[in-house]
Amino acid sequence: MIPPFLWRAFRANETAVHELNYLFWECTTRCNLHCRHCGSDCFASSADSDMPLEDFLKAFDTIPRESIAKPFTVVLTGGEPVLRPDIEEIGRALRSRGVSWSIVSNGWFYDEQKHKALMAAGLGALTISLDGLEESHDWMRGRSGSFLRARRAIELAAAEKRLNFDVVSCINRRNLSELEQMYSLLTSLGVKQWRLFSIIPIGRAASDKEMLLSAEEFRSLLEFIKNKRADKSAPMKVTFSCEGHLGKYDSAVRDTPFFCRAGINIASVLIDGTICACPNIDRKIFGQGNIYKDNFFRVWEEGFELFRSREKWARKGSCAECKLFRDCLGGGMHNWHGDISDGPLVCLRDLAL
Amino acid sequence: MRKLFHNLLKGLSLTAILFVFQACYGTPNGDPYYAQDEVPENQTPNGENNGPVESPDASSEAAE
Ligand code: SF4
Ligand code: SF4
Repeated sequence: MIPPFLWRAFRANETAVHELNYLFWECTTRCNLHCRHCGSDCFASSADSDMPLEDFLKAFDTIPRESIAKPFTVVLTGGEPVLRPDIEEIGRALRSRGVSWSIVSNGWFYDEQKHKALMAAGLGALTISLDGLEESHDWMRGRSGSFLRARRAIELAAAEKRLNFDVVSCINRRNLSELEQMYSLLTSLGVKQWRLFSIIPIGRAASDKEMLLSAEEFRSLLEFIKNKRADKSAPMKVTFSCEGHLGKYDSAVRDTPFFCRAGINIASVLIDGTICACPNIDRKIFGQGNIYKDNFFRVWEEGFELFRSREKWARKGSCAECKLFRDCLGGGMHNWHGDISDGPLVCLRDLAL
Repeated sequence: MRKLFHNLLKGLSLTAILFVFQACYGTPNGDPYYAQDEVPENQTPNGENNGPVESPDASSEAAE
């Protein structure tokens, strides 16, 4: 385990250097599914047009070649990025610029032909969402047949050695009891990495009681992950996603202590050109300009002040008196919505106690 | 100095280990397919665009 003081020093250094390693491009907000937990819904409308590739590339080309870090990945997100008819062209354009690219997909359109085409265009990493066994997944995704499509995509991706692949699952009241069966299913399909997250009450999930875990349920999820990770010979690595500090569970369910890298190593170009960090962050509050008005790289270098100075402003609401603040800095930036003087929407440490 | 520390860690391949993307959004980072060093010389010089993107209208041409 890394001593907290060392981790804090490392984090402060990373923040000062703020190397851009990870660039989300919200290339479409169109989607073929209607997920109960869709986080984009409160910010972006599916009525937005796809952003033309050349607009994104013009913004990307503000990054001087010598400032392209290693590693550097462009992550196509949405909506469902596979809906873009020019997705292979996008991939080739990025490869020609010397960067890797990846997608997050619901797997619906990810058949063998698509897989081959994406690999030929240099797809480097892929995440497929699977939110339970068949009935639960289809319920979450709002469309029957989505489980079978996702499973097919997982089989194809897991068999592909040239792909850095993982499965991500949103754990809620319905599928919590299916964790063991999901684990068996995924290992039988050859999956090596499984990332789990719970839902925070934004988007469609805010009013959906079946989505939100109680503190007890949340702890049972963390216990599940902790136990799986304790088995060093396990065929698949299970991880809890970043989200926030987890108190005593923090280093038991992740590889490294909590560190929200939004705006420190992570940026995004959102559907309307807004420059921000992870797409689930409140873009109205934390947006840092727009590629149609600003030089993207200059914004990255000179903007993002709120992301890089959390010690100065995030001691608000429940974080004001928190003993963990120096290690947590107010949790994930995606937890801050609306009036930030109220503090973050959720504190995972409270749930994990 | 900060950059030096950062580069030192990088030299030890530690930042690659430590930068593990764990968000609910996003994909694993790293890329077994191409090491970035192996990618052919850049065909499009980066940094060539010095201003904002000109066209403010995101056309729907790319949509199906
Ligand atoms: S109260 Fe704030 S700083 Fe403390 S653990 Fe919760 S989110 Fe983190
Ligand atoms: S904003 Fe949230 S998803 Fe993004 S890096 Fe921070 S904790 Fe992770």
